[in-house]
Amino acid sequence: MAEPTLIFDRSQPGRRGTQVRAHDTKPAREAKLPPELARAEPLPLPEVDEQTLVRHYVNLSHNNFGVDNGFYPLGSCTMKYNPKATEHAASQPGFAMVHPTQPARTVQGLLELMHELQDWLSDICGMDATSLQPAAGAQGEFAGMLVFRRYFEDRGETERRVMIVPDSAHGTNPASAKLAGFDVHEVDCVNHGGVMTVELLEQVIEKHGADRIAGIMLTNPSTLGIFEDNITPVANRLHDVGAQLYYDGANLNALLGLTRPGDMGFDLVHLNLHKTFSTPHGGGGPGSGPIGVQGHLADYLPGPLVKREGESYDWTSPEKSIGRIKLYHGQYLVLVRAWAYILLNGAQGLRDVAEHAILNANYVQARLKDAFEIPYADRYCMHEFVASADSFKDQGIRAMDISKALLNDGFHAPTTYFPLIVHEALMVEPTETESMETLDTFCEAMLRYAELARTDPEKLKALENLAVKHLDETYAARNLNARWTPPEE
Amino acid sequence: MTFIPHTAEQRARMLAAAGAKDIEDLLGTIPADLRLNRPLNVPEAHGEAGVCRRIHRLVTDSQQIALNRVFAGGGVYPHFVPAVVDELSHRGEFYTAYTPYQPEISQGMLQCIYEYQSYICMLTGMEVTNASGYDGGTTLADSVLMSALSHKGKRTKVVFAPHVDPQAKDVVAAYNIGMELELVTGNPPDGRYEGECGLKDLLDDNTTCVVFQYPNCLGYTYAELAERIQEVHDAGAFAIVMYYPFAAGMLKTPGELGADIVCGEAQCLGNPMGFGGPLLGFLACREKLVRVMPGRLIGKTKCERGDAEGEGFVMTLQAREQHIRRVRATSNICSNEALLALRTCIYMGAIGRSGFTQLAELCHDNALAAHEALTAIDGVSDYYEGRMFFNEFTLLFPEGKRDAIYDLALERGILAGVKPDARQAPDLNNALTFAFTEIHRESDINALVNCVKEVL
Repeated sequence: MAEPTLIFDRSQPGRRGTQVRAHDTKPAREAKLPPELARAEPLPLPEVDEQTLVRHYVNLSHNNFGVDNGFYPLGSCTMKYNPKATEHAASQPGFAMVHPTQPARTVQGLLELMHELQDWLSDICGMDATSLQPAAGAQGEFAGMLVFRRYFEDRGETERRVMIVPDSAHGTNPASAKLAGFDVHEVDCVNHGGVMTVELLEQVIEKHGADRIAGIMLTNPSTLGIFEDNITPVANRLHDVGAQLYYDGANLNALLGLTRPGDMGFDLVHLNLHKTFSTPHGGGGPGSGPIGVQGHLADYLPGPLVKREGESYDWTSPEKSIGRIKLYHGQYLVLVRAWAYILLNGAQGLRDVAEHAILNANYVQARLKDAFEIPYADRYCMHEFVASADSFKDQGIRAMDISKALLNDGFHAPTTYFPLIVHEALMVEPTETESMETLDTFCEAMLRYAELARTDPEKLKALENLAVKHLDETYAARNLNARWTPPEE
Repeated sequence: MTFIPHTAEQRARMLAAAGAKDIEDLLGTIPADLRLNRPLNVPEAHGEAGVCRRIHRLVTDSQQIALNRVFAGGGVYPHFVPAVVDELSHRGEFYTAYTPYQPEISQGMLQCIYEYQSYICMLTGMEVTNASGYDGGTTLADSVLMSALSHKGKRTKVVFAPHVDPQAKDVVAAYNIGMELELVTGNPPDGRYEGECGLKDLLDDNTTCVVFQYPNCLGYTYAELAERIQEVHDAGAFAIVMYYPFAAGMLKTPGELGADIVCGEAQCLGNPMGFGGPLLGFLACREKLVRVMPGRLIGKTKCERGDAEGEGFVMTLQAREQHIRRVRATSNICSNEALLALRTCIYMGAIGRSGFTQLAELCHDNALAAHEALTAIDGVSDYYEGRMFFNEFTLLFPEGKRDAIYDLALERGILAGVKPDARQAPDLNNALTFAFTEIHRESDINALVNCVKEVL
């Protein structure tokens, strides 16, 4: 059986690795540790030389696919180019090698950067204040929910516990609201064209009573990539009953400099710096999920924030803050990348980002709409659109088959089976950094699959270029093997 | 248009293909009254050289302390990061990739995280670990949540042993706004020793877990930890241990001492201090708790490799997670700290079996040397006289002298420890907690000792 070679398999007893201190440097003193706690044997870590280690991970990197490898049309994830200048910025020792307890007076430049970023993000979102604390989008959502909770408690409205979430929303939305102690009411938008309407809202208000509605979690453009133009009446109706509006910033790339969540009536927004502001996804993280709020919520933001007094900067925490949601001061090195990205682009550049994200999505939509079912293709999409593979079902071809064919041909797959509104969904977000040539290559591949689905579906499923395929997820779950253990154990 | 590749001619062709006259035409779906009719209030575009200039100024406006003159810990430690870690983790195939939901083209990252999980299990003595959390504070909150979930809401009291990192406890408190558990801290009596703090009296059949920190946030080890954990188990509660994984080079793992859940901060294993972020939260547990564990998990499975049957890696047990389970998920976590987990995986392989022990011994040796020299100074006393420590300890200074020492050291380019949180005990206002790693040499320790001598 062909098995992957682990670093542990490359170990040779007695071999030495990277020399941090000279290998023969020994402690000068006898250890003083409680005998109950002292370790008898070293841990069974691998023993490899540095070159073996380098080849091991360089070869593993060849089995991995990033934006630097090729096109990544992963809907709602904004997999755009990660500029190398922002990486370089984050690796400066003046940022990367600073201990977080260094007093504020000795790190004025580092605080100045955070203060600028707070201000810029507030303006970009149409908000009054921003906290850079949350570690990722989901933590931003959670922090936002806690802000709402504290706001209502402060007003004595402790009965406001119903958080409205469209069933088309990202799974983190309901999970974050629940974690903050809200009763989540998932609204069936899936069967109503995927949009939130005043009518749907009225049903929820009637069911729970206006005094129990805490708010709603929405994103705009919607998960279909369509601008929800009924946002103003929805916002007005919710504000009428005293509820708050939460904006999920996953799709903000389409709006930069064009319109702002604050102007649409949202009270609170979370951003994903690893999407809109092009900090790399890192194979799953780190992200960063700042939250911006309107003035009435600013007192509840998670601390610390950076304040400016005259020419100097200091930490502060709002009076009624929800407190600290992570250690120290946020994902600082991710903040540096976002700050540098904004400076590289400038005000006009950010608007260009949104416009070209929209142009690229509409171009690809137009090229694919005759071969794939695309709901709402009769109107312009924003930065992404959802195609359906439903029409190939009779040939035994599903959305996942199209996705795997793309992998086979050197592309990343679109987001598959999400949103649930569309059967056999393939959610395509090209992003603004992809050239027309790349988009054309992708479109031609997609058109070829549509053709193959009709003429030779088995060929479409062949996946001849993939070295590893048909990974058995059921087997993995039933026979959990989530670590290497030494042979003798 | 810094990163937009279109030529004017291509843009025109693309617009035509989309059936639009111009870009403004495409934007027509945004209602006019919602449009922003002014430029964003951010600076004009800087070229790369311009950004570098600004960075240079920001960095020069701050004091940069050499790594070997940082004696501060508190979750974030000045360990040396070998060049090979930066070099390999900066490969674009790794750092520009998304979460490995498509295993066919993500075997590299998936295997690295599987190896990372193997390391974390070894370092903690646990059977299973997630693919990372945000930091040591949030993974502590996750651990508490796991415990409560496992008791299905029937036990709602969380007991903290004394000297669990107050900042991490703040994070638990914020998470608890939603959880509404009862949070209780054992208070050390006059002896100020958590071994005698009456933890046992706080345990009852409503206690879901007891949280220990090992070594504790003032740096001291805890000889009776195994006995305390047994008491927790006798009460039917879970023992959560927040842990500094570098200590595994010399000390028994929390798993060997009986812990059920082990969490903490792994910045120390190959990651930069980064002014406190991003950090690397780890969370490991006994396999029986895996169904309530939050976060991603990588597992090995069967697949086709070439034309043969083989093995590969996938994300597994996803039914716990928000993208499947939504409101009933074990947590809302989605993005984690995968790139830092990758770095830790490379770091552990680079220093290897003997290197890890050697570096841990040098950390301990430096701490012993500094402790001996500092406590020999008149007026300086050990916060916990006679207690043992791994690489961190806390010293008390005469009333009013602590800040003078700290400030003089700063003037000389030395970060003289961390000022411990005095919410734990008022006399900590006169104390500093010092941390030592393999990076420090005798001359560094002497420079620190001299600052203390000069003030006293």
